[in-house]
Amino acid sequence: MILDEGPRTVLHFLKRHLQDKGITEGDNVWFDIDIRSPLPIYDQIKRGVREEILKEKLKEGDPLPSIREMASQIRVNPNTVARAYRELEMEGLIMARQGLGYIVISDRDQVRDSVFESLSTELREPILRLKKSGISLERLLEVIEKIWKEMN
Amino acid sequence: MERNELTLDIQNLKKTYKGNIEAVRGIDIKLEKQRIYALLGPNGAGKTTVLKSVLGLIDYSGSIKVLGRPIDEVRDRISFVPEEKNLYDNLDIEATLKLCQRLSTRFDNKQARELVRHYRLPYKKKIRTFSNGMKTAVYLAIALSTDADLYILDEPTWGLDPILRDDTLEFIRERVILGKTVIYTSHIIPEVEKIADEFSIMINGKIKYTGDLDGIKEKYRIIKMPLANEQSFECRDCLASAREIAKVSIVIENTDAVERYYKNDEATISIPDLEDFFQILVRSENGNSL
Repeated sequence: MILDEGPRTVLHFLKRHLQDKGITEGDNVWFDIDIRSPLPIYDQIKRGVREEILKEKLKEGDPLPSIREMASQIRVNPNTVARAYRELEMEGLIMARQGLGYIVISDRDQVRDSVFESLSTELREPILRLKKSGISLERLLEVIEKIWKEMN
Repeated sequence: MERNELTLDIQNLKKTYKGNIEAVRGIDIKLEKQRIYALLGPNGAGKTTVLKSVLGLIDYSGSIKVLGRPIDEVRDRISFVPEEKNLYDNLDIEATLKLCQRLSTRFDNKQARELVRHYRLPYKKKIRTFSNGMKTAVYLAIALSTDADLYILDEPTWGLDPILRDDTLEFIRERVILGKTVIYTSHIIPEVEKIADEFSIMINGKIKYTGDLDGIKEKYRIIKMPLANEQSFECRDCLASAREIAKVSIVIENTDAVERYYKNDEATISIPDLEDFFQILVRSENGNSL
């Protein structure tokens, strides 16, 4: 096997090895994990899955990649993926099916609420910091509006 | 292996070297199957002594079970990279791989050759002439190509450039995706952040903290605030506190205790990353000084 140069090399190498061991690649990676983020990694995986459901890339009845597939695609440990899946199952968004792995059992409306819930946890600290430094709610809303508009 | 059996179970490990040097002062480690465990600590913390004890290379007091048994009964189910990476000095790669093949039926020559190629090692040069990083790569190529239940890796990225270091971490992760278990030592934070399921911070022969990255993000907050040099500081509910010039940094559980710092306008509160968390713990241990 001729290996490419550069950082992609290791991915090819790993994929081949996983294939050799009978672990096949599923769909493409949809989201990135940032280990330096203040958000726990398992939580980033949960968000990733939720957002896929929101975007309707994952629909009710669709299978999720197996724990091993997901772990090797997004480069996190199987334990962490297992934890994320377990919690999503407890939240009623996905379900383990004997021998089939996990499937999605919710739709975008159900997911929307939980997205907002985790959003408020995420925003708490930065908003608090702004509040402490004397920024008014009006000013904060202006900034949000400005950013929002810039995106269109 | 029994279902709930620990892959590695260390209880009250102590090691005193000649001259009364207490390298390890009573530590416990419990490692479950299919996990990556990092022993993180500054140089001289005692990390290598722990691994040498696990491998049975030195005498120690306390109890160590590997895969539920004494190490000597399970040697063929472990694979390791030692601290001193000088064993094959007089051989070239070709001869080394042949030797490994003769020594172990679990050694996968094809995979080793792929790794040798990946690390860009020359086949015909004496390993003695290799750089530190290349010597590390030789050991990695061998250890990772040997099928084992537990991989014991002492500074597995020593001397490697950043790209190969990252690749190596992924190779290690791959073992775990395939169901294996890993314990390794490191003093490099990003290495631990990237792949450890669980880590212990070891300082002066003792384990000061055991947990995981997500756990510290959720359970703790770091608070930094100004503090005059002559002012005394005491924090009873802190996990650790470290003084620097004109300021103090603390690690504190994210409970009501944190709320009172929110009222302090000069305090900055943040979710810990491992770098800060580690620094404060180590400095706290070293008498709160720079």
